[in-house]
Amino acid sequence: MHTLTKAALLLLALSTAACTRPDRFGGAGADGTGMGGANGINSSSLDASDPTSPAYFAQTIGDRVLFAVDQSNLSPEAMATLSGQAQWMLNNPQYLAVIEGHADEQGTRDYNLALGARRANAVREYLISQGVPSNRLQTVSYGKERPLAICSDETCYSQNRRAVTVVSVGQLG
Amino acid sequence: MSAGTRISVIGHSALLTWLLLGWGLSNEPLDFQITEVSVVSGEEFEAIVRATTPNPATEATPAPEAPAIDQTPPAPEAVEAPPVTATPEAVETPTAEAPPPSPPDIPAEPAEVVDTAPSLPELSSPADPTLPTSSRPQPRPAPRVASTPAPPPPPDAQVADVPQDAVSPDATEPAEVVTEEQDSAAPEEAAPEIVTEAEQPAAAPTTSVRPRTRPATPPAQTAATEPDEAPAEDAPQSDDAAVDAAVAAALAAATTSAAPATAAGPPLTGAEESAFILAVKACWNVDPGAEWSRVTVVVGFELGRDGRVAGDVRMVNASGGDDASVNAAFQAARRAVLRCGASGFSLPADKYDSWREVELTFDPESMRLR
Amino acid sequence: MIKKLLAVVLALMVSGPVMAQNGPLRLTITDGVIEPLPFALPSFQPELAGSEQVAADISRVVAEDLIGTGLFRQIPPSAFISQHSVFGQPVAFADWRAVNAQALITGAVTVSGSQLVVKFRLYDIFTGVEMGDGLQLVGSTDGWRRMAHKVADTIYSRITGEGGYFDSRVVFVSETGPKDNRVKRLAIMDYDGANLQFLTEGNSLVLAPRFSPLGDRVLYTSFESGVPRINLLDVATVGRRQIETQAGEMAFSPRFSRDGQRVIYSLATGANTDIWMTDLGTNVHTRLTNAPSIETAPSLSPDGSQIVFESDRSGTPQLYIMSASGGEPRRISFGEGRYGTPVWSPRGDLVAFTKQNAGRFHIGVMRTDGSEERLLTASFLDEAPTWAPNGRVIMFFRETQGADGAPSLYSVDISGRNLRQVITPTFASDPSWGPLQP
Repeated sequence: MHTLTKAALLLLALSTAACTRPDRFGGAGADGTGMGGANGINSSSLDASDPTSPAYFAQTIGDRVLFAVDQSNLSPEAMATLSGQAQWMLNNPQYLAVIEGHADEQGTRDYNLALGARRANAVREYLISQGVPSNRLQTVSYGKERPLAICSDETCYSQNRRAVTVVSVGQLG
Repeated sequence: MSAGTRISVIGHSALLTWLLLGWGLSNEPLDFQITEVSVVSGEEFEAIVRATTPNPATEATPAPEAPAIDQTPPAPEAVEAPPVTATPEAVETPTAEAPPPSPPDIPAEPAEVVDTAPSLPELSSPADPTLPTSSRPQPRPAPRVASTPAPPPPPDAQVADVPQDAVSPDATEPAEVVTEEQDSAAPEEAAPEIVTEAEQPAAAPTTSVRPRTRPATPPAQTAATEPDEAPAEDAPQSDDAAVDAAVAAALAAATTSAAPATAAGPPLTGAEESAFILAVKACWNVDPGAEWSRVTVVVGFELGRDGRVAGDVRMVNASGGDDASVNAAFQAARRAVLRCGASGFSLPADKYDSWREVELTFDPESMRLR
Repeated sequence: MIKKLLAVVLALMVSGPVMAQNGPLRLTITDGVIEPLPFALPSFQPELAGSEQVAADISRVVAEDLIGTGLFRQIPPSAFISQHSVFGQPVAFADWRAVNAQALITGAVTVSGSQLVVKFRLYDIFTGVEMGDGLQLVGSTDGWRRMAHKVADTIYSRITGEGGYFDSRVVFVSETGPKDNRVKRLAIMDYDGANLQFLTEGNSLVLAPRFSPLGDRVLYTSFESGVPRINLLDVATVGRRQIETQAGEMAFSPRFSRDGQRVIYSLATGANTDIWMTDLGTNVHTRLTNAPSIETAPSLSPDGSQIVFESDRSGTPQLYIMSASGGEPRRISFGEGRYGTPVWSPRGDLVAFTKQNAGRFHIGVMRTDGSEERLLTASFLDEAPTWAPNGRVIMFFRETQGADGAPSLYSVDISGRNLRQVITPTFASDPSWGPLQP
């Protein structure tokens, strides 16, 4: 493999990791340091071509599913993604997952926190139905506090109505 | 250059200059005028008619405009005082609901003499049927809310507590009453109701049908049709006639109590009552968010023959709140009577006995809900 | 004969008016004007050398407080005919009437060492009497703002017949940084934005602080444990403790009970969010709702007997009222759109709320039976109303649209008038208005 390709891959992996790093959300999630903090880069987990890496989970399988306005039920596409997530969790039993529920900015803070909890729970229930032990899954709601896309129209809102599965090695809080 | 060309050039430039200056200067008062005229209610019109119609019985009856007429030009010290809100007391007559300024057919300031004649025909022209009818314009928020919307004051007018007409002497006024020092003061901009942000229209309508102007002079014969003017006939009479009248009156009083006795004041007409209410409400400042806006108070007071409050305003009755709210409601009612009656209410002198004692009920319910 | 006739005439002249008059003229006025009441405030007199600056500052803050209500306007001192140069001197009412003042506020300020003495009197110009007695306040010079607020509160109270709200504080969330990575800190300030202090560092996400009834403690939602949980913070010591929550549970939307001894809040377990109450003394948790829908944003009535909250049991978020001990709720919001964040007014007669309809957000009020709904504001995003201690004004936050969108605090009179921004040094959201300070 050329150095350039490697560098490109590394960059890609880094950027993906940055997207899913739990502590990016102000110390959120479980012991998210398994993903590497701001300085500790774990080489194994950055290799997106390694099917056992969180990077592979996030990038190839897909760590997020999207929801319709005000909804927490799963679309067929979401179920397909989650089935892949469940399979990966079963193949990599050392990983635990925190499922983050998010909402778009159209709604009050209180309601969106509850809505995010519903969405995270929908994902959790589905993963459990696919055989993932419930004690490896935790949920958290961020409501509208952590948008991924920051514009104020539907192109951004649709990306923000999401549940993100963040996998890591270690204990759940 | 031929003489003809020269004359033509001069003539055209003069015309152009006149047009530019003339139109530019006359536009603003015109706009102001239009909005003013558009809000005359039947009630107010009645009041205007009453106020500007000479009363054959008692020419002493002061019309709302009268104080302004009697008023001498501001004293020298008033000129020295900062002109902001210092207005002579006489001007504090409740003219808020009184007739709007007549068209400024004589300019206020000699320096800015402008012939506004070109704009007058437009004013009096009926609504242009070709203009699209706009949806009912929603008021925009203003710091003041009154039943009669006032447009934003023109840029050169100061916001005064009591609107003053731009100096506009008309034929009935003595020439020496011209008050050059007096700035034209407009009432503070007012919306007819509270406009919350949620109720603001997205954009103001761009066109609307122009309202018809009010006739420049009210119909002169209105008084003749008013029944209450009838007993005003006992003017100078001979002694015999007086005796005859007294006997007749005594007979009338003995047989039917319907006919008023000579000295008894007949009741106020609806128009006179309306005018009185208009005069008081202009000074009744309601705070619709306050607890006391749920309180109805009845206040009583006596009026002197000059229409001024004699003694103090007392509370007769109150309902709908705790002591603090009742007191606040009473104070607001009291201020309304004292402020707007400061220079005397305009009431028909011949009916003094009907209005010597007054009880006013101040009910803010409709203010609270709008 | 003639004499007899004359006697008849005389008798008639005396009795005539009595006959014609049926008591006083009685009229009803149902319509007035709504306009700021003009007041004159000659700068308070410095009664000792060295008091000049404080006297000027206090005069300014008193005027700003009153003007800020939208109910008063100040007559510029340049218009004054007479200057009220000695505190307590007889008032030339005619001079103040001439400048259309309806109230006159006079005062004097003495600074000696660190002690500050403020005296003031309030006069009703049109009735020509003093309203209430003159008042003297003694405090320390560094508390001059509070003393100014107290003067303004007293004046406000005497004129409106209601309690004031100037000497009060607001706790809120100060926000910095980009929209997708905001740093949020708890902050506290005077109601007018002065004397700002931070209560937390920015290392974990904090949301929706709520003042205790006495203003000594603050409840808020914190993510420092990884999931939203409720913290209780002592304002004076900044010490804090967490309300006990089980693993897998998320707690948010807290509010104090009127006695400050209990907390009502939302608890999310799995997909479900219900309303709970925790007794801070005994640490006993009580579940108040038990429905599969979302129940959140609870707020107790001033008498503590009822709770208004938000629920989507009907399909969209709407407002409901139930007994403070739980039980069957009744829906009170029936307009178009979605309703949230209900807050019971201190007077007990109104509920303020956030409403979302047709792509806009509103702050509104309705009576507790759902009638007389009135929207006070409209924007891209208005949220989280909180009542001034006298129930007269509502503060909330407004977030602007787009990638650069950010929140600021605003206040509005419950009549819908006088919308104004509360200036803060950073972005600001989630205000909670504390009580009038003792």
